[in-house]
Amino acid sequence: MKLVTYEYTEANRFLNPHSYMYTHYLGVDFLQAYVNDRSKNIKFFKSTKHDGKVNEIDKYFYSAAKFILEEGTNPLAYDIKKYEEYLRSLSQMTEISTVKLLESLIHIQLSKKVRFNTKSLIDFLVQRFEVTKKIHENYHSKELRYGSGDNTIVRLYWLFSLLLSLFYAETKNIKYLNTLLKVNDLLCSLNHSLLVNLPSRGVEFILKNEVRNIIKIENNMENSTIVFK
Amino acid sequence: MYLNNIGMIAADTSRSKYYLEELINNQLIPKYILILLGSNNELLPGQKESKTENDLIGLLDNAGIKYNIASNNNINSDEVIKVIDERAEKVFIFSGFGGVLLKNNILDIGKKFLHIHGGYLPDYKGSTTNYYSLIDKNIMGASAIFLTKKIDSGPIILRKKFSSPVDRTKIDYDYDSEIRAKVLIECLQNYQNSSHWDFELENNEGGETFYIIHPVLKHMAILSSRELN
Repeated sequence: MKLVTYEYTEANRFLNPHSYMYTHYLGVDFLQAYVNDRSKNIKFFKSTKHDGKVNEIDKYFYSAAKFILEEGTNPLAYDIKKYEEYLRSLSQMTEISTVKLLESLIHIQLSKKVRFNTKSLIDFLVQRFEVTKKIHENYHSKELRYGSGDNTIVRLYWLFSLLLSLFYAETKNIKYLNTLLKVNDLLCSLNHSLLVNLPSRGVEFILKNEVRNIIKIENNMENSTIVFK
Repeated sequence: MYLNNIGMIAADTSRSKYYLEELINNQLIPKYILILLGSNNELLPGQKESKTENDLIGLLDNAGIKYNIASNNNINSDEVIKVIDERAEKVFIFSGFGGVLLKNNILDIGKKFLHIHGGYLPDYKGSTTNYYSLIDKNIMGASAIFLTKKIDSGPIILRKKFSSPVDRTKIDYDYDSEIRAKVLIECLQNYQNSSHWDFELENNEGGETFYIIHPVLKHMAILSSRELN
């Protein structure tokens, strides 16, 4: 019998993006192959020494997201007014910085006090990533369709993954878990030396959270079989 | 019986074959059929397998139905648009290659393109939506619309919900085509009976836009027999 493998993290997905079109059904073993692959990556990221220069704000995002996703509240106070104002001013801009957009959206998601409608902006990022499998440094024109600048900034993909994790936790809309799986496939497909500038345990955390969500859904199946070690 | 004002654009896919078999069985033959052939060596999206003898052409030849073969397989090419533009038929059943969208230059020629979307509109727009609706609600759907510039947002002529198939591994190439064909036939029969297009829901706004389902979620949708989310 042919061994079922998880091909989606096998090749560098910056260089070889996967279209995910008409993927073949490989049976129940495929789900275990996915969990095994994520488990392998989680163990690797756990043991990786993060000696690069990590952004202070990313350390905060990691800690605050951990509180939100594991305990449901964020005790780490942060003044988010300027981020809210930034998001409100986007419609007047012809070019937006993706990092500013992602940081602002994550701040809003982490704050339970603000009632800013983030869905349309998150949907914009989801659409751009799903169509191109890239996240560009900037987006411009009125429709924000056109990406420019570097599209291999690993931090942007990690921030996007974190944002999707938070938004899926809030909405339980499978659409966001779907994109999260693809972004995390990409992160796992990269040479791990490219991820040392992310917070220590930051990648491990988003992968663990994703697998927990998949297992939660899988547990609703009549014949739940996958084992996560 | 020929559908006098209706033509068909049929890409060489298993779905087009399914449509044509049902159209022939129900004696609803488009007045004009334009076939978009895939190249011999390349498997285009929606094609189940490459063939040396063409199933679609064989089907039409056996039924004694005339057809034309497009000079290339690109529905948006000037050559193909010219052929469609010069035809007398005002409405074309559109069964293209998966993932290929009609661009403005063809949507602007004044013809209507009848498309059967695999999903219940307006709730499930975009790609592979039946897997999402299986996970969410354990149902599938198909909706007949006239294509507009906004994806899956044209006026809804007819939409139906379907129960999930017993063998979910056959969704992509069989069951999805089968339910779409059912909606197509009913839609055309209604038109034949009334000589005009009635709309079930003209305002097809709102809903959620989904993107190609990740194989992990697809496997869970196939392996389960109830809603999971």
